[in-house]
Amino acid sequence: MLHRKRGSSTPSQGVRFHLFLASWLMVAGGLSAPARASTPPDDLLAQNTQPARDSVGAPPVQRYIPAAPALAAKPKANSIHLSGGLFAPIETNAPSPMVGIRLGRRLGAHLQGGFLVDWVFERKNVEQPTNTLPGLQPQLILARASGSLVPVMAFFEVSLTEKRFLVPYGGIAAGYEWLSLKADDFVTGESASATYANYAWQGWGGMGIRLDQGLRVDFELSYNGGSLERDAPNSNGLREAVRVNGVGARVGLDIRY
Amino acid sequence: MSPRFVARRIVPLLTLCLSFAAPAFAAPAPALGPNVWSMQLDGGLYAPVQGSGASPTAGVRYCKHFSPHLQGGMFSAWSFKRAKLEAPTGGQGSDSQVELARVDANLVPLMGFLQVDFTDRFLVPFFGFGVGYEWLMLHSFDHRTGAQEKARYANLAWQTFAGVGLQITTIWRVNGELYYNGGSLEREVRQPDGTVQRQAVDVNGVGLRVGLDMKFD
Repeated sequence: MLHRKRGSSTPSQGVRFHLFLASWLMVAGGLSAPARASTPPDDLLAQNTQPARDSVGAPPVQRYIPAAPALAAKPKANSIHLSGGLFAPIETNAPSPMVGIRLGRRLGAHLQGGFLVDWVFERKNVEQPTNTLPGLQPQLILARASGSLVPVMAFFEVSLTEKRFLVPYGGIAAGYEWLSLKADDFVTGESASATYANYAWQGWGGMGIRLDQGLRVDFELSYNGGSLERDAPNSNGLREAVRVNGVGARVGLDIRY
Repeated sequence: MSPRFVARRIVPLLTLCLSFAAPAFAAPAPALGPNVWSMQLDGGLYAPVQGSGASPTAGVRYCKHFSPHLQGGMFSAWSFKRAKLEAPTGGQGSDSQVELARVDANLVPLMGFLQVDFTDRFLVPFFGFGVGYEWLMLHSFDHRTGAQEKARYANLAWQTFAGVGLQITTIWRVNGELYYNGGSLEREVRQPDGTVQRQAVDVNGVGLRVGLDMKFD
């Protein structure tokens, strides 16, 4: 038989055994890491442990009884996304607070679809001081203008990964959008309101931080596009339009259930 | 890389990173069941943007833990602010002041909130958001005219907060956080001629609070 001659750089038998053992430990550790990550917490284990009754007189032995496999293996198909942030229409350059909700359902490994509703609200007052006392100063409201922008849309969202800690994602939506404007003059008692509506669209992209399988914190930039219209009053068929193109920045919670 | 640079920059950075990775102390505390709740008692300072200076605040948060990283519940707080209008008494060499007017303000929010914990380690960065109702009671005394008035303002308001917690045991946690309170509280005043005036007080402001959080089931 031919044997390769062991040179000065060839490890000895003992060294090779230790390398072999170390490599096996590394492989075994790597394989068990995902399993440990998906193992339920200790308190859940404590719920599923029962004392064994097969040893009379001996102290009870804690034995783990696994939960029903159907519950453990079932993926979470639905998601609810709650978000808040700021929206700045391009033509007014005045950031306004916004809140939103997206209800989605998984359509594939990286794709989900559903419906979204947002609410952008802004209110401005014309005020004057009521007294000269120190501290928090009450103001007399002379007039007020307020506006609400409400899109209701269907959306698709793509997540580039479902396993990593950082999750880049992007989405697009299309639907209908309403803008309600209201003005009150509390000095004269006059008030006026107008509602504009039309088809509109949104697009967004961002980065999520996956905290666990059911919870993700999202940071995203969005763009809203639309030209909302109404029949101009007393104008024989002429139309009024308000452009609501603008960018937004929002933070959200994506909860799967 | 100089030793001074390592001592001043690298070592604190590594210490911070390691503290994020360190698991919470495994104190011999009783294990919590699946339905975990927690209550936080906190205190700190709140400074309205339109007010003059900071005022003490104390609060309580009561919430359910939906997962190790998400909790939601209710919170309330109480902030007290006293502002005085004073003038020197006029005596030569005297620093004494005479009080001309005083306004006491009590601000009480009651809100539902969601809070996200980014880790379950020793150092726990977190943030949260609350929406609810807020009340402001103003009690003013004008000693120049003898006028005294109590007024109550209320409206929807919101808060957002972010901070870092120290998970001392599995049960106890110490939280330090910054928060922002936003709201314009209003009231209607009926005038003698029958008209209604609307008054508003802007209570936007920032605050700083430290809290002790206790988990239970």
